[in-house]
Amino acid sequence: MGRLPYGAHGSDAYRIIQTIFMEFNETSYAENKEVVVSIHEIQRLYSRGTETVRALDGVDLNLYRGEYACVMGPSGSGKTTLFNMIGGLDSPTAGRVFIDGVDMAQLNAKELAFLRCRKIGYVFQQFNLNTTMTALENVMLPMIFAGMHPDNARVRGMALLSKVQLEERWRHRPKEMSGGQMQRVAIARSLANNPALLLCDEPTGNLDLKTGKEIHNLLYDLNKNDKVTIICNTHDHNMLSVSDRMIWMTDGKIDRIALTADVHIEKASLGEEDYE
Amino acid sequence: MSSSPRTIDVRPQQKLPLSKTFSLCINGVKHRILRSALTLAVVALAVAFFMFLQTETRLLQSVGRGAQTELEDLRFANRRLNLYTQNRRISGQSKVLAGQQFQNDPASWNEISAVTGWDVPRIKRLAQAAKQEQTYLNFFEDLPLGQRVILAGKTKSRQTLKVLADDGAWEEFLLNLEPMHNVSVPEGPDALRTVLDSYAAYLEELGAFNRAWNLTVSQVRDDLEALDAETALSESLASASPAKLAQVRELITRAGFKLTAPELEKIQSQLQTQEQLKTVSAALNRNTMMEAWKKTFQERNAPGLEEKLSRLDETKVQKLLADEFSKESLLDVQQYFLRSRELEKTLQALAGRIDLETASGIAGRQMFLLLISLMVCMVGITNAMLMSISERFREIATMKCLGATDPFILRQFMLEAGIQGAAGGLIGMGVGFLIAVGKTMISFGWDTFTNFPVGGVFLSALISFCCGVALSILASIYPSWAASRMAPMEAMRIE
Repeated sequence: MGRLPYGAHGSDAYRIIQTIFMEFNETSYAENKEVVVSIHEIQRLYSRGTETVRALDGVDLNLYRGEYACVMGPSGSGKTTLFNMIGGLDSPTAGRVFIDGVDMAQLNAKELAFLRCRKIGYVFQQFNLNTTMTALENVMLPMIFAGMHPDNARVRGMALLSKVQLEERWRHRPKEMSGGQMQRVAIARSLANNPALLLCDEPTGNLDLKTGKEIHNLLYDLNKNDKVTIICNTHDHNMLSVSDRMIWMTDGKIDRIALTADVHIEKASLGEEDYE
Repeated sequence: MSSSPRTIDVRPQQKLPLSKTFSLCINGVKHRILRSALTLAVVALAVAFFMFLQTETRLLQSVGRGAQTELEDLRFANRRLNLYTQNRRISGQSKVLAGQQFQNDPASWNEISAVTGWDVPRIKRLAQAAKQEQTYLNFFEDLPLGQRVILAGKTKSRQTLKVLADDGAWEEFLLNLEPMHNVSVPEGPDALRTVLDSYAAYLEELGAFNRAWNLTVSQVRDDLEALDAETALSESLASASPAKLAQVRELITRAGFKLTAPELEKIQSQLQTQEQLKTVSAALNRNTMMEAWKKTFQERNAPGLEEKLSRLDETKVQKLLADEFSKESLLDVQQYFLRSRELEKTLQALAGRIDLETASGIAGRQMFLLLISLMVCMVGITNAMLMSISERFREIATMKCLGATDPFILRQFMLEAGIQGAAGGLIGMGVGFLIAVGKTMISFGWDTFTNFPVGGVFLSALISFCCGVALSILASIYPSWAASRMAPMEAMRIE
């Protein structure tokens, strides 16, 4: 593993993890923990012209209920492909993905839609709010798809909006909101149907540091107070500090897994020095 | 771990009720009004064109039919008097019998039956035969000359049928017909043979019918002349007293013709107007009048009668004619004259453009244009929809991440197209209607509204509207399908 080019996102964190040797013992970590997502030897091959690209090459991973995991890695390392697999948006070439014990490969299109609607919440880098709807309508959308009565959905939608401190802006449309507010609406939307898992794909990638931090704190609170399982794909150091576990990917493989607690002190100080 | 049993219950995602889908669609269309306007405009254009074509045709038809009836009405007196007093032998009677109008009108069967003294079934039989004869006469008439000569020699109309009735000629006809693949005898040569077999009998029957008819008509004519031997019938009727009118009516109805008292009064008043027209035109064409005209209007040449009549309301002309006519009678005459001229012009203008008889009246070339425009419209809608879908990649993929199924996306886009098609259809309907009315009004003025075909226009509007909706839904099938097939992982893609 060579050093990443200077200035690449996450290079400092990479160095830290590389330099601090640490044996991650999964068996002790997994004690008394319930598996939410289980990934078993998955491979994903793409054909680009004549050559075959191995986006994922034999990944084994367990995610536990209530944990906050961060996936890191340079671009092209297969993070997004891994997310697509976990989120049921794409199917693996080989291997299996289980969510709450359900084998995704055995589900048909409508069952997958059911799963996506109720078991997984998605938070995107570009927020992906429906621009024609108000904040509340956006939050209500997954509940409508789940068949909830609109009145109940409205009540729950307001509760979720107040959880992300946006209850006063329920009437606003995405273009009347800032990036941080839009992302908070998106998080409220992802929580709509009490998902087993929150998939965050670079949730702070389009935000400045300050609003990014607000989002971290929000996700951290959700994880610690509401016991929401979060898996987060990020380049952001601040994000790492709130997570329980870091998963490092390179070339479609898991390179290393570490508990954040083990690197916490070093990383936090580095974060302070570098950015504040 | 991986082999752990299903701990959650996974069911197929339920179908969203149509009302929900609809409200989501409405919301989308409302907030993408500019993008929707593109599709809408395309639909509106096509529907407007379709609506315009239909409505214009219907309007022209109604104007033409109105003019026809009104003209018939203006000529009512002449037509009726001719019927009662035909001087020549009627030879065209078979054409009347063969006509569609006669075939569908029981009242005229009874009238003819009363006049000729024949019973109705016999007349109907004759009429049927006359219709068949007319079919074959038309058939031979429409053949190119060369083929006709080969088939039937140098003969014309009835003579052709008479010649063919001969056995030898018939054999030859069949022989000659065989290589002519493009010629098809109506209902086949066998039917023609049957007609020919009874042709001589038919002609005889027709002759008998004509004789019976002419006998009564000449009787009526003689009686009418006997009433007033000095003057011509039209003149004497124009000035006849009510008592004399009753006498005339009595004479005519006794012969079997139908004539109500109001009808006779109408005939009288029309005859009066005609008489007046004659005297007015005589007055206007006198030499002294010519000179006076030239002087008053300072024109080198006195204009013709038509123009004079059209200027008749000018006070100067009235002054010129004040000695001979009252103002009212002048206006009457003028109106009668101008109106019938106008109606004739209308019919002339319409003659080449539309078919007054057929129902839809849309000509072949227009149909072709229409089809082309509808096809262009479909391509336009498909294109606009594809654009709108490629703009909404992320939205569609996100919807799928949130639990939308493929059929939902398909329905959503089809519904959207349907809504746009309906809105475009409504607009196009209105625009097409206005253009059609405007164009007809430019040509025919307020006559457009005298026989306004309300039902026909409604039907056209309905057809155009449905056409617009169907068109946009049809055109959106492929784009909607493409949208529904989109992979949800597109939502993760970063631009």
